[in-house]
Amino acid sequence: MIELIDSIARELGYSLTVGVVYADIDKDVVLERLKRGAVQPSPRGELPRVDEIENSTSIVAQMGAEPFLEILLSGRPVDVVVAGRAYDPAPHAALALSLGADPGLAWHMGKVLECGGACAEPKGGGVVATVYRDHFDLVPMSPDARCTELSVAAHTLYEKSRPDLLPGPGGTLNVSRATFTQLDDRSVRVAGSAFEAAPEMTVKLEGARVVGHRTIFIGGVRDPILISQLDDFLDRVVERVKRGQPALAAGEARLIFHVYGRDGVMGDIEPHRAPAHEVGILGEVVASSQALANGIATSARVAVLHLPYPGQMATAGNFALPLNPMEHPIGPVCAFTLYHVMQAEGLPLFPVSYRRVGR
Amino acid sequence: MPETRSLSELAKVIRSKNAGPWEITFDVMFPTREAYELVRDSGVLTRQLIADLYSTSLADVKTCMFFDPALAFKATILRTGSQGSVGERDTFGAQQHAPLLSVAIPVRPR
Repeated sequence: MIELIDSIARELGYSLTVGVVYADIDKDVVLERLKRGAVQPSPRGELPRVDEIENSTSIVAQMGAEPFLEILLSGRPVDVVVAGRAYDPAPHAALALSLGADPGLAWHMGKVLECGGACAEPKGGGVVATVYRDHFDLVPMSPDARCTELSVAAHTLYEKSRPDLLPGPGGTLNVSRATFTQLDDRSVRVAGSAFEAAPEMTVKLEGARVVGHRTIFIGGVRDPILISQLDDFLDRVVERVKRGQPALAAGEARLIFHVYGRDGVMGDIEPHRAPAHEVGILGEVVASSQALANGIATSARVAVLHLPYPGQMATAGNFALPLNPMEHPIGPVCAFTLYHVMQAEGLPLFPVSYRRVGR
Repeated sequence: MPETRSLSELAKVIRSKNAGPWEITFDVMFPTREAYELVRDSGVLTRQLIADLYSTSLADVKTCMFFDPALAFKATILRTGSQGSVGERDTFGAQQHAPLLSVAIPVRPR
């Protein structure tokens, strides 16, 4: 990223000071803290697994406002900040905090601005927040957009588990006494939010690992005779493919069908499973290597296309395939290994450094 | 039989989204205090209803509450499977709200 900024700055003839903050955290630190009970279980009640931490591609911690504050208050003429993983509201909150704003208002403003114009109707574009001693005001930059009490309140709740208490790095934003007041057609005033500092220093860790390689195929079924027995048919497809693909038979590879027009979006919990007059089938294969995934996907696609079924009238093919080639290797598949809160007392997190780039 | 209105007729926003990789959260927001209070006081949007709509256990409905300052209802359930990974159906959890749209809310005849 810094190299990219450097090359753009050179191209444009700028000389820039870049503040750099890394969010990476060492696996050994996580393993050691996990061992001594300093990692909290996930909402599922699960602790991270040691082997999965060891196999993680990288692990980061979510930074709060502190590293941004350090840069903003450093007295250096910083032009650009490049930061690793940060809590979405942190950069905006830090700017307000650096100017002495109330922490409750700074964090609430940061939360609302984290997605720019997503707090406006229609969403999109930018939004200007002006923070005062005991409230902040929001107005969208696009003349066609409005902030409303509902649109701002909606973004306050966005992607959070609870509507009233919004935990983040360093503490919890309590909006249970917040007020949202329409000032005019396009502006909203927010007041009453409070920031409650956490009793101990914690960070949220995020880590992922590669769990396999994926190949997909996609097509449609329009034949009502086949649609009426689709689950049985797809079960037999899987059985057929297993016969020629030992990794699938052994459970080391996966073949999953997503049936659009029936339950492609909700799967097992779909309350209305009556299929449409045509359905789309996405075949998803995950195996230990791309070549193996490709092979299983080809076998599966051919089986969907040609496996016979009871009452079959269309004996030339079962599957309308829009794309050529028909199987598509789409690369590595990742999975979270960590999304857990860890005690961070005594850790040298988020080191800040400065670089000169450009001419 | 009391007269009913669907939640989609009474609310302005009905949506779902991930709240981190372990949870999906549902937001229902109302255009007026009157509509909000009608739904809140109907007692229809309960933890049990959310568990039934999403075929999950009561224990896995982590949040189910009305929030007066925002004229909003929020429910949060545990996600199954591995978010963004093998077998994922909705990476952002953005299309899991649909069963809420048709929830019937009794309204008093005028």
